[in-house]
Amino acid sequence: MLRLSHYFVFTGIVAVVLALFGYVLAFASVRVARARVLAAEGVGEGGVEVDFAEVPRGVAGFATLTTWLALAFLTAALVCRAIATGHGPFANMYEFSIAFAWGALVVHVYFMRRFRQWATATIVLLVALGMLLYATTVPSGAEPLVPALQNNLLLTVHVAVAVVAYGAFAVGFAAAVLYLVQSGSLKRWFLPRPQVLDELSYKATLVGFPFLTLTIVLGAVWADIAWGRYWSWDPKETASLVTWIVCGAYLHARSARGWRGRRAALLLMLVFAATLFTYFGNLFFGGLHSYGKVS
Amino acid sequence: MSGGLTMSGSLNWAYRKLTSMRFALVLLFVFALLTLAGTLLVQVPPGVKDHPGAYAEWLDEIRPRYGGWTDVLDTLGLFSVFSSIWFKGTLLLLSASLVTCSVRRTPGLWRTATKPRVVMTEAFFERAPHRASFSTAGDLNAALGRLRSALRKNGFTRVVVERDGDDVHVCADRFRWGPFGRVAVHLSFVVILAGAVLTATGGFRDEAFAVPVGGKKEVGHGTGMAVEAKSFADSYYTSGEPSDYASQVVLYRNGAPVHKQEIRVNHPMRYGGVTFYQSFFGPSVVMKAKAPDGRVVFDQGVPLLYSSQDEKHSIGRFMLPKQDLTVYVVSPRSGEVDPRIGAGQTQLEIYRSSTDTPVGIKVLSQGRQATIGGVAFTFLREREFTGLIVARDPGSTLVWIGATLLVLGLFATFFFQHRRVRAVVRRGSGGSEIGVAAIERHQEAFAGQFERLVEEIRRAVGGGAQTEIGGRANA
Ligand code: HEM
Repeated sequence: MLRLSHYFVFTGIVAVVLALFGYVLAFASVRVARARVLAAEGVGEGGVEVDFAEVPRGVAGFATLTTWLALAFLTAALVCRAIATGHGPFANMYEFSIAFAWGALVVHVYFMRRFRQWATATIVLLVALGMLLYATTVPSGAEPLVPALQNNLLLTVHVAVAVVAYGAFAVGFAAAVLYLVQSGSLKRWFLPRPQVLDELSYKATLVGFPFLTLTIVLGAVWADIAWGRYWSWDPKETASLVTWIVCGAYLHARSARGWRGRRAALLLMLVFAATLFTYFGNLFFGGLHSYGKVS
Repeated sequence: MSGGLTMSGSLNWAYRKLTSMRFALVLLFVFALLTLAGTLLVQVPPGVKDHPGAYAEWLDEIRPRYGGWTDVLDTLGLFSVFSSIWFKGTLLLLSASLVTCSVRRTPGLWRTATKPRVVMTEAFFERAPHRASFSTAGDLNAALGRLRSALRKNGFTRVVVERDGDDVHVCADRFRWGPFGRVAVHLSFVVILAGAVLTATGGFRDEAFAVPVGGKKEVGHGTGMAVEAKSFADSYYTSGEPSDYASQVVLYRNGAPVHKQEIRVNHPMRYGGVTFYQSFFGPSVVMKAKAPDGRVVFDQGVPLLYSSQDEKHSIGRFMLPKQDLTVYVVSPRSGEVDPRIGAGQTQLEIYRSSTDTPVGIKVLSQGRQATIGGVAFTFLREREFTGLIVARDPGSTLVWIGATLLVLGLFATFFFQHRRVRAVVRRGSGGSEIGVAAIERHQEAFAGQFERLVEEIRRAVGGGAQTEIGGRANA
C-alpha cells in the first residue's frame, strides 16, 4: 500500500508537470491566434481577455484532463497512505506536503469549475509542484504516531481543514500575482481583466479565512485535549494567528475601506508568505508541533 | 461648563475613534506585529519572571543573541509579549472597538433586513449595474406570480410587494439574515477574549502533579480531591519512539472514591470542572519515616522530579514539618553510574528546614533503615511515578462558546451572503412588463448569479418574451 502511494505521488508529479505544460501551451496558442487577428485588424493588444473557448480543443482538453488526473493521483496517494498507516495522511512533513499540494489542486479545480477561470492554473500548479518536489526530499517513512498525535479524528479534520485553507490562499496568491503582472505592464498579457483577477483573489480569501479560522479553533480543541490548554503561544499557533490577523485585515481593508487592486494584491502576497512561514515554521523553531522534524 | 464640554468632547472623540474602521485596522496591524514579535523573539519561559534572580540569569543567557538590544527589548516587555501592557492594551481597545461598532451597526442591519425600501425610482431600473427587462402576455397578477416563482427558485425566498399607483414594486431577498453573521463574528472575538481573561486570572494549573504508583496525592486548591495512581505503563515502538503513556487512577473527593479511569495522552480525565492530563513520568523512591516516639510520620513515594546540575542525578524532596526537616532523595539517573550510590541504593541528604543547615547524609540500600536527626528513615523500594497536569479552567467554556460563534458567524457571512434584487411590474402593450435590477458591492461575483436569475425569469414568463439585459458596471 505504501509503495502504491509512492507510485501515485510520482504519477501525480508527472501529471502536474504535464498540466503545467498544457496551460503554457494554451496561453501560447491563444497568443498566436490573437496576434494574427490583431495584426490583421491593426490594433494594439491592450485590454484583451482570454477565454478557454479560444484555446484549440485539444490543448484545452489536455490541460484540463491532466489537472484532473493530478488531483486524482494525489487523492489516491493520500488514500493509500491513510490505509497503510491507519491514520489521516497528515502526520509528518512528507504527508503534509502532499496534502498541501492536494489542497491547492482541490481549491483550484473548484474555482475553475465555479468561475471558469483557468489563468491562475500555472501559478497554482507551480506551487503544488514545489510542494511535491519538497516532499520527495524529506523522509517518506511511515513512522507510527507519538502519543500526542494519536487522535485520529482531530488529526484528520484539523489538518484536512488546514490544507483547504492553504490551498485557497495559494489560489488567492496566484490571482494576486497575475493581477500585478496584468495591471503593472502596459502591454497586457493574455490574462483575464484585472477586475476579474482581483475579484477571484478576494473570493479565494473568502474561502480561506473561514477554513483557517476553523483550523485554529480545531487546533485549540485538540490542544485542550492533548496538552491541557487551548492556547499556549506555541510558535506554530502564533504564526497561524499572524496569518489569520493579516487575512482579517485584508478583508476589512477591502470591504470597509475599499482597498482594491494593487494594495489588496500585495496584502494577499503577505498572507501567502505568512502561510508558508506557518507551514515551514516548525523547521526553524521547535515548539510543541514537533512532528515537523525532518532529521 | 467648559469642563463639561471638553468631557463630552473627548467622549465624542473616543467614540469616533472606536467606531472608525481606520483605527480598527491600525489596532489589527499592531496586534499582528506584536504577535509576530512574540514568534520571532525568544519568550521567557513561564514562571521565570516571578523570580528577579532567575530572570536576570535568563537575560544573561540570551544576551549573546541580542547583544545591546537585550535591555531595550526587555524594557519594552518584548520578551514576554503576550503579557505585556502593549498586547493587553491593544486587545482591550480592540474589544471596546468591536463592541461599540457592533452596537452602532446592528440597528441598521436590522432595518435593512426587516424594512426594505420597496418602491424604487424609474432611474434605478434604468441605471442599476445589473438590470434586465421582460415583456410578457397576461395581466399584472399573472406576471407577478411568474416573477415570484422564478425568484423563489433562485433562493430569493422573501418577497415584499408594494403597489405604487398602477405599478407593482417588488423587493426580494436571499439570505437576509446573513449579515448578522458579521455581528456574531465581532462579538465572538470579545467573548473569546473574556474567556482568555478568566483562564488567566481564575482557576489553577498544576503542571508538576506527580503521583507515585501505589500512592495518593491531594489536589488542593479547595477541590477536596485526591488522586491515587494504581499503575503506570509506558510503551515504545521498536524504533524507540514512545507509543503510549497510560495511568490507571482513582479519584477521591472528600475522602471517598468517586471515579476510576485510565488517563492517557489525548484521553484526559474530567471531573467536577477539574481536568487531569497525562504529562510526564519518572522514578520515585518509597520512603517511610518514624519519629522518635515510634509514630510513622511519612510513608509514601517521593517522585524524583528534579535533576542535579550535572544532570547525572535525579532528586526528590519531602518535608517533615513537625521535625523541622527537609529531606532530599538522590539517585543516579538511569544509565548513569555513580561509584558512591550503587544500584538499588539511594542517598538521603537531610537539612534543618528553618536554618538550612545540613543534618546528615547517608546512602541507603533497599530495605535498610538509618536514623538521622532523630528520625528513622527506611528506603522501602523504587517505583515509577506518573506526572499529571491538573487544571481548572473557568474560561474555557466561554472560549468554546466564542469559537463556535466565530466559526458559524464566518460561514454565515461568507457563504450565506445577503442578496437583494428589486423588480417592478407594469402594464405594457399587449400584456405586462417586468423590470429587474440590483446593486451589489461585489459586482463580478454577483454577475453570474444575476444571469442565472434572469434566465429563470425568462423561462417563467414564457418563450415569446422579449428580454433586454443591461450592462454590468465597469464591464
Ligand atoms: C476593532 C476591531 C474591528 C472593527 C472596528 C471592525 C469593523 C468592521 C466593519 C465596520 C465591518 C463591515 C464592513 C462592511 O460593512 O463592509 C467588518 C466586517 C467584518 N469583520 Fe470586522 N472589525 C473589527 C475586528 C474584527 C475581527 C477581530 C474580526 C475577526 C474575526 C473581524 C471579522 C470581520 C468579518 C469576517 C467581516 C466581514 C467582512 C466582509 O464582509 O468582507 N472583524 N468589520
